[in-house]
Amino acid sequence: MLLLVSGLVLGRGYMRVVVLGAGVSGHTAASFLRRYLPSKHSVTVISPKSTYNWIPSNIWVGVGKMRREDVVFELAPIYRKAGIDFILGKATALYPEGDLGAGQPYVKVELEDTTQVAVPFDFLVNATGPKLNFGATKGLGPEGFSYSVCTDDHAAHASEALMERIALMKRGARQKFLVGTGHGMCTCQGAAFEYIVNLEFTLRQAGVRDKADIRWISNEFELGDFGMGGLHLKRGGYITHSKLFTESLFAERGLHWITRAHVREVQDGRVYYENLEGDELEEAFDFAMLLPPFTGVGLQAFDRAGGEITQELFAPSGFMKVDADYTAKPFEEWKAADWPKTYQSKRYPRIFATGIAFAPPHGISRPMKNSKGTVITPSPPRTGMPSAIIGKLTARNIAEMIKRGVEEPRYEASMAKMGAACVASAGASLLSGSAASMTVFPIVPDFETYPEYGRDINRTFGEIGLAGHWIKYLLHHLFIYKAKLNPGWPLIPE
Amino acid sequence: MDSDTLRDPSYFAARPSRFVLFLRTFIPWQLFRFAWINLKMIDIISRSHGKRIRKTKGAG
Ligand SMILES: Cc1cc2nc3c(=O)[nH]c(=O)nc-3n(C[C@H](O)[C@H](O)[C@H](O)COP(=O)(O)OP(=O)(O)OC[C@H]3O[C@@H](n4cnc5c(N)ncnc54)[C@H](O)[C@@H]3O)c2cc1C
Repeated sequence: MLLLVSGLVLGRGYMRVVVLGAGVSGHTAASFLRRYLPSKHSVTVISPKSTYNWIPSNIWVGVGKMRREDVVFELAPIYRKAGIDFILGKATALYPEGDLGAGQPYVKVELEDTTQVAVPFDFLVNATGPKLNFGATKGLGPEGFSYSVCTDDHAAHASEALMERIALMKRGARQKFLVGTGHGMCTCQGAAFEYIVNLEFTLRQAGVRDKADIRWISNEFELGDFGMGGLHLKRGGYITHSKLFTESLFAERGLHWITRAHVREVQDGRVYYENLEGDELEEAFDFAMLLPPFTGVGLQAFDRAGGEITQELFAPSGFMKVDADYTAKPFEEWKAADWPKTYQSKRYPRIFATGIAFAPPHGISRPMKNSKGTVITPSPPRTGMPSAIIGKLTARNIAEMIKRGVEEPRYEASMAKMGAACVASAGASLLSGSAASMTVFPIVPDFETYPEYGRDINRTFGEIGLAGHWIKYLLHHLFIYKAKLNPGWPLIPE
Repeated sequence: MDSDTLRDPSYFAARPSRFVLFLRTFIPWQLFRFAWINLKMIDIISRSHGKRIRKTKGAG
């Protein structure tokens, strides 16, 4: 039965802004919306989880360096204090025109007890992030034969299994570890990269490194692609590709690698994969942490008459279409200008999609297929920094639209004009740890502005060292402090 | 050297010298790098928060 959530219906001139998702992007958007909008307007967050998870630190949970409780906190008290309404539930369908009964737009939400409710909105931010699509590869994921660190629960589960392996190794057994991507179209190689180097560091600290064979498997054409075609860096008098940087770190740590691989199936102790040459190969393991491919969370959309318009609002990947150029074109014709700037739906100007939830116009890495037609190409990443920046930008735009009574956003931030600062942990210890600190500008290469490498070579850099670990550790505390909306939180940059 | 070693791509990768490895955890050097990396990151962050949309002539 469909109910209308009471208490959210406000008088004339009062706007209801609804944010779907309480991850990096949605939580940032909701927090800034509350800050920018007078209290007469309501801000409501809908999320199926009662907690906020600082996902980047899941890596440390996954190797036993942090507890699950260190990376999550309850959202309800934070939202109560901030004046943000919170609905614990899962959005399932959008009615941007309302329906024949209700004249106003609403979102259909399934609450924890499976009751269906309709939450009306004037403005909507879709920040639902990814569906972790383990089902794309047979046997992949915690319900199959491999581990994941994508959620705090997954990471805690991976850590338990790792501790068991370490105990076995201490008793003299050799173990084979496999880390990487579990499908030819995965993204988030950076997270898998962090996991493999942290795993190696943890095994070294546990005194069992000599008992471990550690192997990387990914869909990247070359190591260091990270779904963004890699990056060029100035290093030692040369301009080198991140391939060199990543291979060097792997070689130094005794990590072996398989690239250009699409994992087809995971069985107990074995993965079956095909590569770009079309060869069908397999690799044995005792412990595998393989990331899943991402899709949208499966929201549907309907018009006023009840006709399905999901395909008009969403790309086939399930991510929401926004102000990007989605015309299918060959790699050679991809342009920085194809990327969205305001993240506003073209059909419904009061709907926005932020963070991972927006559909990218195309990849960043060059698309590759093998002779069997299997696509083996990383999908484009949308990491924490752009996800948060886009969330904040959207809050600013919606607040301006409400205050000025217009339908046009005032601010833009394309990922082709935005940089990213990224610190990839390579071992957690305050005196002997390290991390790869990287900056890239812009995230999406712009070959018109920077014809040689697509990026500003003076602003794209990377180095490994203890300082990076200190930064990563500080960021963990700083971002959790900020997400808890503690005093001064808006001063901490995204 | 056996032929397996030559088949392993890690054999062909650049490796850091002992001096580079030493610097990676040498505290005084890392304190300096900490400051420098932070400056680099602040530069990137300050350029990445978007801008006001400029209307082209004739548009709306
Ligand atoms: C292991 C790992 C490590 C990472 N490390 C880094 C890093 O070091 N640096 C970095 O920049 N990035 C990192 N990332 C990427 C970063 O986590 C993502 O870019 C970021 O979380 C994306 O934010 P988001 O808000 O779009 O999605 P999410 O953070 O995934 O949030 C999505 C939200 O939507 C909710 N939701 C889902 N379905 C629904 C629904 N139907 N209705 C309502 N709500 C829904 C979810 O519960 C969640 O609250 C890492 C990712 C992983 C997996």
